[in-house]
Amino acid sequence: MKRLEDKILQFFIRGDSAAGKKIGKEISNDPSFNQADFDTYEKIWQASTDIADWKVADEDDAWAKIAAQTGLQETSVKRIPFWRRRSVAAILLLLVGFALYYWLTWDPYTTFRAEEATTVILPDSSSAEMTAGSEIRYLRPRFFSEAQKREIFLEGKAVFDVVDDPKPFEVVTSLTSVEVLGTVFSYEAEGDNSEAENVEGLVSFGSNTGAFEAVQLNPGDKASFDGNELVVELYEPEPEPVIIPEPSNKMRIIDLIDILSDKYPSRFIPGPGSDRSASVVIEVNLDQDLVDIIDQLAADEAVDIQYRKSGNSLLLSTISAADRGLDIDYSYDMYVNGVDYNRAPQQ
Amino acid sequence: MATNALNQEAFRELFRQHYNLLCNFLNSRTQDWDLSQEIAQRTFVKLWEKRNEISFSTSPKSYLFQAARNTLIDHYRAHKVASDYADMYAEEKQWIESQDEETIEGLSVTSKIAWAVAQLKPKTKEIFLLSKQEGLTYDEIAQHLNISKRTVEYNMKNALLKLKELLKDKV
Repeated sequence: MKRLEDKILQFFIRGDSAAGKKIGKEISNDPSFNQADFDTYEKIWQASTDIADWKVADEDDAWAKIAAQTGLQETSVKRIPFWRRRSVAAILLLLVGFALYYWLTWDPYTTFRAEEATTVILPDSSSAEMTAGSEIRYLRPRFFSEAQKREIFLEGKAVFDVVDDPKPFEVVTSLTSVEVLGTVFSYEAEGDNSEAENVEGLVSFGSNTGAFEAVQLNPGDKASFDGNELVVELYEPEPEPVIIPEPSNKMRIIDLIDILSDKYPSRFIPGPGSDRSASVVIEVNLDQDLVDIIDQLAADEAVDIQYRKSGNSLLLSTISAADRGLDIDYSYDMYVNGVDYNRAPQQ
Repeated sequence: MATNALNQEAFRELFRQHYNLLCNFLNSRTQDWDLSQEIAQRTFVKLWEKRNEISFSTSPKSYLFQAARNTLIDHYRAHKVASDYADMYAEEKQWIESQDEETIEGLSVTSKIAWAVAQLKPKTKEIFLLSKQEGLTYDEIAQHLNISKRTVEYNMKNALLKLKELLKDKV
């Protein structure tokens, strides 16, 4: 059959040539010859010559003109071959499949787990200084910037340095959350236990389940929640150390003699040579007993003092000192006026 | 209103199937492609305007060609006052009235073959059209395309085989 069909084709191709005529005879003598089949070939062969006069009209242009005159829709309706429709349908199905898969599997969040202590810069330029083993989860940059608040989910511990932004910055753990605008704070979460400590700015520590009302944490304040109890440790600064002024113990020799004479009228008896270099300033602690005062002066290499003890009294014969350029803290007048020499203002 | 009146979708489909055929049908006599297209368009416009008055006793296609004949006659009648058209009108009127379904069917086969030829592979189509449309001999085609005569024959054979496959039960 195949061979006969090939001969029929050859018959038309070769036409009126001698070879064509010979093939024609062979075909008509072939027992499997089918006249209807041959006629179809002949019809196509003959009619195909007529396509020389066949013209192709611009159907879109014609339809537009007809539509304009009849008020019909101008939209061109073009037939799409079945195989093309099937291809398009297959591609669409594939795309829908991909889209569905992407939609079902795509996560708008990005998750970062710190294998070791790491600082992560968040999309808003805030930072999270994470301890090893901690994990944070937040929206991918595009969505993070579009969201109404900057939301971070935390497991583990991290210190957040939050940049100022009108949008709240919220760190969420399993049961609690911390909300701020711009500040520095640390936050630790392990299971249902969480603890937040504010370092700078103002932090709001709240419950995700309404277990307690949010508390404001000032710098240094700590709050923790174990699932049952909220504990807030308010920061109490160390009391400022009381500065005890150095005793004002620098005075002139003459003032010291007068003060001791008044203070110990029966025990301190200055002799006639006791005011040598009377205006020179020496240091002395008046809080001591008279004997200790004189011993202190005697121990001072710059001071030359001579005295004699008589019973409970002390007879001072001479006292002088090398001038060491010290300024006066305390004077006899101040003593008379009741000024505590230890609190005496600097002069 | 006729029960089988045309709706817009059916009218669009009628246009899609027969507009080009109608243009070629008209062109075979007028030898004026622009006029043929204009008459064909006017025929479709009239058909749409009278869609509610028409009851297709024959097929829409037969009605369409009959309407096209009438439109062409009307065209010549409108121009018969002009002496240039007078003789042409008489000649065309006689011809038009002699046309029958066979002529239209013949054009229909040509339109189907034109469609099938358009489906051939580019090189095969080019060789087939040079032979059947331009009337070149195989030697001239071979020389023109710088290929062997045997290649021309091979492509002609393939074209005929493919056309029969495409036009099976259609011609």
